[in-house]
Amino acid sequence: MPTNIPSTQWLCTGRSVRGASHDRSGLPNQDAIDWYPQSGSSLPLILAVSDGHGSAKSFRSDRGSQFAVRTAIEVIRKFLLVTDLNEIGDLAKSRLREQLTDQVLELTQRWQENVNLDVAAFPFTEEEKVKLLQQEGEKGLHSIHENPLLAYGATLLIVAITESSIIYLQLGDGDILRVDAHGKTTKPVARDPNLIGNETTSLCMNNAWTEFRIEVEFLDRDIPSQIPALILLSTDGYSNSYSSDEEFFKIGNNYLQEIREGGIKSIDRQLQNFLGQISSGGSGDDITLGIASRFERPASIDLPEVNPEGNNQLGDSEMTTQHPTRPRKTTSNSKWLERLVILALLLPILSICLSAYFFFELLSVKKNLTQIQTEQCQDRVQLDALKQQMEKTQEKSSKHTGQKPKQSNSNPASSPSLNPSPSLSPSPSLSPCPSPSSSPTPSSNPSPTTGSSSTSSSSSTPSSTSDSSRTEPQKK
Amino acid sequence: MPLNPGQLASRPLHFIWICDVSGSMSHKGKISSLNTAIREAIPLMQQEADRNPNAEVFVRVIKFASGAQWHIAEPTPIQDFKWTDLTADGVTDLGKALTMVAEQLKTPPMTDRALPPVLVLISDGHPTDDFNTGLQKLMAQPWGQKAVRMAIGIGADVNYEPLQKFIGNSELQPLQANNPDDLVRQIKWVSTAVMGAVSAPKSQPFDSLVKTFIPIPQPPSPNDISSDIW
Repeated sequence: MPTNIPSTQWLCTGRSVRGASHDRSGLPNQDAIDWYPQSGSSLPLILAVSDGHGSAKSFRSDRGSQFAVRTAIEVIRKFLLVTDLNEIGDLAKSRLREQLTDQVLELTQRWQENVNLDVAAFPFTEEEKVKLLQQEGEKGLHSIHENPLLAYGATLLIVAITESSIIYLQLGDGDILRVDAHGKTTKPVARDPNLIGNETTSLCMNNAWTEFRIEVEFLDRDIPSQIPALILLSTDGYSNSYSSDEEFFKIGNNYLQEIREGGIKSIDRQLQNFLGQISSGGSGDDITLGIASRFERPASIDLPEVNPEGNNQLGDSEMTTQHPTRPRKTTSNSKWLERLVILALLLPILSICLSAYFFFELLSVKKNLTQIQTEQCQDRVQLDALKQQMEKTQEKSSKHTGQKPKQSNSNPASSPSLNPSPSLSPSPSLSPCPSPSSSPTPSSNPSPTTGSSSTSSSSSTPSSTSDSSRTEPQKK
Repeated sequence: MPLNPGQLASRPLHFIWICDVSGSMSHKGKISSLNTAIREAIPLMQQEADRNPNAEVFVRVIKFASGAQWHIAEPTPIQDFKWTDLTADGVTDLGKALTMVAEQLKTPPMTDRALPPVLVLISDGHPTDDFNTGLQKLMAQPWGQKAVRMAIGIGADVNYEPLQKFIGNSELQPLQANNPDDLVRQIKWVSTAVMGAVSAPKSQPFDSLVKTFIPIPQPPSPNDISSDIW
């Protein structure tokens, strides 16, 4: 059935590199990046980057930026789970912005809690304090004493992509770039005119949540060309490596073309060295780049409902390794095919399993039968022994009384007084004994007619059986 | 296909000398001492700039006396910079000079990617024009506010109040040069230590209520006062 709705999926990657000037001064990489899900290939996709401040006061900003991206993903992920983003229109946008304002408040509070816990667990060391004193004097030390959050100060940029919308959140410097299908690059979040030089708004500020810039973009699935092809998040070390926005914005189209030609894996392979080169040749600052890239099947392709050949007519090699992010009609055919293939694979496995099950069941029955036969043989041996013993006893008693012993060919069973027990004779009760563990007990028990419980209790072993059989005739 | 980085650029750092060339600067060899001190400082500035290849230092000079004018108007890369001697004559129109500097700190021609500019004011007297208006115009520009503003007073007759207002930070005092050696030392200090502090990009939290300043290293202590000649 022809369809005009394209299948869209997003892929995510990114890197953070230590700046050339940090290499020279011995500072660590103070940026951080994280995204959810870790596979980077299903929706909702959340991407966060953070830039820890480089000033002497922010001597733990590398930890602060790590806390920032982690907290951002936790908070926004939770928010997306409980929020209906399918509404569109100005009212919905306004309502969503209000909800996001609450989220950035929660985010900053949780970041501050994490930092306070970290300070409690790892108080500022003397070495840290002395270094700060040397670099910024008593004033710097006092500022950290007044506001320990300063030591962890960091910016935060977040993009959350869902099926129906894109959320952009930014606190402090850095850049979020939106690249359309034609490579046109824009900034969805307006820049803060106050942020020039090296000053930036930060999570360590008391009113940090009020400084977040929030933008929401609803996606019209019927007009895929209006959905961004690429979203880039970068710390300011990247844009400061260019002389102007105009030069910097060229990276949007460059990345888009590279992804189209070589796939996002090609970017991934090059990114570490590439960003390092940019830092060396540009700002010297740490550079972090997060990339969220959209793939789309051309809308003009008509797909059959079911493709019995199972051939994917789409030429995009990336498609074969990624998961579609939207349940669309165009993908239902391939889903049916997938199910058929899975069924075809499962059937032989199921038949093998059943065969194995019956094979082992038969083995078990055979084993039980063997065991029952063994037990029956043992019982016969015991019976013969008892017969012989009784004959000897009769012989002895006849010698004492001068009577002739009875005919050996007389049927012992016909003499109830000498009959040790009906149970000792091969009886049908033995044969149904199903398991080795139950064989000695009820089936071999003497019949109640013998009136001897001691015999029954001791009949579990051949020796005890022979003992009891010895004593019983003597009593009589 | 290898990624294309595009045209990379170091961050520009604009360093502007704001020099008093009023008539009083011609007394006791002040102007010649100033010429010598800045000329000697240039190689040190070049060395300092070499230490940080991620900042590109551009130098300009504006002079004020009766009116103000750019002595070296073009932002000149420090590696190409050559000092041209100043001559002294006229009054002290500092306000006019600050107005002209403010024009240059607008965006554009400045870029928001620049490092904070360094403005070094050197004067031996009292402003003779509307200094406050000039300062207001300078501070009206975002880059004027973010600039690292330093001042050197030459001799005993200097009025330090406008110099302190120009700096705008009570924790940072104008430097005093009472002899040629002081002047050389202080010019070298602002050319190297201050420039070095500004050229290394170290972000810090912005607070709209409290002015934040780039930490400046400890200035040189003055020489023995027995050697004062100005």
